[in-house]
Amino acid sequence: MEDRGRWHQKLDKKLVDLAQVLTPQLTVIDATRIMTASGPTGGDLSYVKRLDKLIVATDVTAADAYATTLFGWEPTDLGVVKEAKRRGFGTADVDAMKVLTVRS
Amino acid sequence: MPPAFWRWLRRASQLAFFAATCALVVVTTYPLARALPYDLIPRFSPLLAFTASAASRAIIAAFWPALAVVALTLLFGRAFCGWVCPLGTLLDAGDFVLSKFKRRPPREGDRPRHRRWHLLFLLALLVFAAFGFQLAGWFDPLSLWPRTLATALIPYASAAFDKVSLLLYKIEPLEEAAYTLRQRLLTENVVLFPGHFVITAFVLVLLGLGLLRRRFYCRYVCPTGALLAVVGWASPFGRRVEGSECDGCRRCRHVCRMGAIGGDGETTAQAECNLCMDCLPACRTRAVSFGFGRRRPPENPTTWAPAVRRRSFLITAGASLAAAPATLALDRQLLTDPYLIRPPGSCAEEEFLARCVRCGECVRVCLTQGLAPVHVEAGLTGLWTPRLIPRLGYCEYRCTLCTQVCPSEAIKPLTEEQKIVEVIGLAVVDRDRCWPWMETEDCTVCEEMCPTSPKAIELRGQGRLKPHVHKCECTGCGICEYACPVEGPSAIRIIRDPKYAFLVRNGGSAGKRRRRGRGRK
Repeated sequence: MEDRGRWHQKLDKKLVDLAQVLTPQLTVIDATRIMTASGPTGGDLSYVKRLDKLIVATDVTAADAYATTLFGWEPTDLGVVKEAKRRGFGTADVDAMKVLTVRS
Repeated sequence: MPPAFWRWLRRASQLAFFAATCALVVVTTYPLARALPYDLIPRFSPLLAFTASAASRAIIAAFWPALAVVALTLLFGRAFCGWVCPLGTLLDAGDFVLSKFKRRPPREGDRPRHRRWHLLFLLALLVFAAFGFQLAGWFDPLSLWPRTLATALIPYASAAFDKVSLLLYKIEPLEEAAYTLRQRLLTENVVLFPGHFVITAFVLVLLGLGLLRRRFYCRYVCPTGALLAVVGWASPFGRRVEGSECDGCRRCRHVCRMGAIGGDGETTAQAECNLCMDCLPACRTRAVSFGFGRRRPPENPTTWAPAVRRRSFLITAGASLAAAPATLALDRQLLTDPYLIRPPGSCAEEEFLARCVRCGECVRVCLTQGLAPVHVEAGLTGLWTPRLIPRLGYCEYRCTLCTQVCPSEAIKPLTEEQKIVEVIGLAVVDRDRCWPWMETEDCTVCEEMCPTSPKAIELRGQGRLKPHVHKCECTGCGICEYACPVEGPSAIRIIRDPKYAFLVRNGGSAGKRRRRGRGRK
């Protein structure tokens, strides 16, 4: 993708735009380890939390909204979820989701 | 041995050393895994050893290989110039091309001429070294050639290959090969350094001087050659002519690239002869030989020893003694560039200037190509020392490459643990250009890029988050300046000393504007 810098301005809006056009069928978030501060570079290993989790969802907004809870956040703390909620794209309410937990 | 054998041997030696020096500079790249002495080339120079040590008032032991050259010269005279020196080889090649043009014939006269210009030049450089200036690196071939490769020729080749490989991508069978080659040959950034043409032009001028005389640079300019002339003029090995065999045809004098042979074809200026062996096959009567032992005793010893007239000696010494302190004073005035960032591990500025031999090895090895040769930003005498230009490339957080290749320890070797706390500058936000500070747009690039832990850049503020720099965490690595999406000069800049922060903050005009504002009220 040319001009990475331009695509990253107003990233939240552009991500939702993109999701609305492409409508992802399946979203997978790797939460084996999560970085709790100082990302994406410059962190320290002590900031890394090992969760051994994998989030799989058919609704991309729901996947992101659920992921925020791993950090102890509210879903709308994440700009992209807030924007999706404003547009009514997907589910941002974690309590309204049907969450199935699979243990191996 | 046929007479031409020695000439071929010399050519082979020249080619081998030339290829070796070029190859060594070319492979001086990440990850330096070959366990090669990457900084070896400049360390062979006795002149650099002497001037760097004198200027920094310390014996720099890393220059021990220069002793080998001194030993070679004591035994064989200036064989180094004829058989080893990579610049000499380059000049020979250039002279061969230029031989299509007519040069002035050798001067008449029976005595071979000893050149004085480079001796006087050497004298001036030594005086400057005594004042703490290390200027020999500009002219020393063992610094000049690596520098030219590292800061000009290799970047040209990389830029050309960058373009060509992008074309190769479009040809499907070559796509993968192009990718592999790019990965192997190109650094993350392909850049041409500012002012690369000055460095190239310098070498082109040296080559062009071949129009006047063959090996013009070696005869009249090269201070290293001058030093070797002084060291090796009385060497036991040298050119001999069997007087009874010589028919006086003067062919040897005609082929001599150094102009070291007198009009009689017999007298040889030992301090000029670089033992190229061209006069061996040129001699039809085989009167010429090279070997140990006494040559014909000189009638006039002054034609044998390199010497300068007392008057020119005094004038040169006097002029340099006057010029050196003046330059020092002028440079202190000029050294005001707040953005002059030295590589990590660099000595304090004065010692850095005394030690740096301008070989360009650090520029070559820099992972991001952010290290670039300086022009006049470090004063007149700082020419071609390295600086970090973050808009070209940043200083990679855990990288210590440049600290490992410095021949004179102007950049001290650092371990990874030392490197990550090494402070080379300080980031300052220009609040008149930064988007969040101007309330134009949200932006988190500098904070995201910041590699320290905890981050030296923190986003905070009510409403729009704005970058703030923590002085105690910032190492000045410059990745924020590199990545800042503001076009033109970055909205966050690295300064070499916190005292220059006012030059960056609010576009450097904060004070002025505030005063004006007050005036209106």
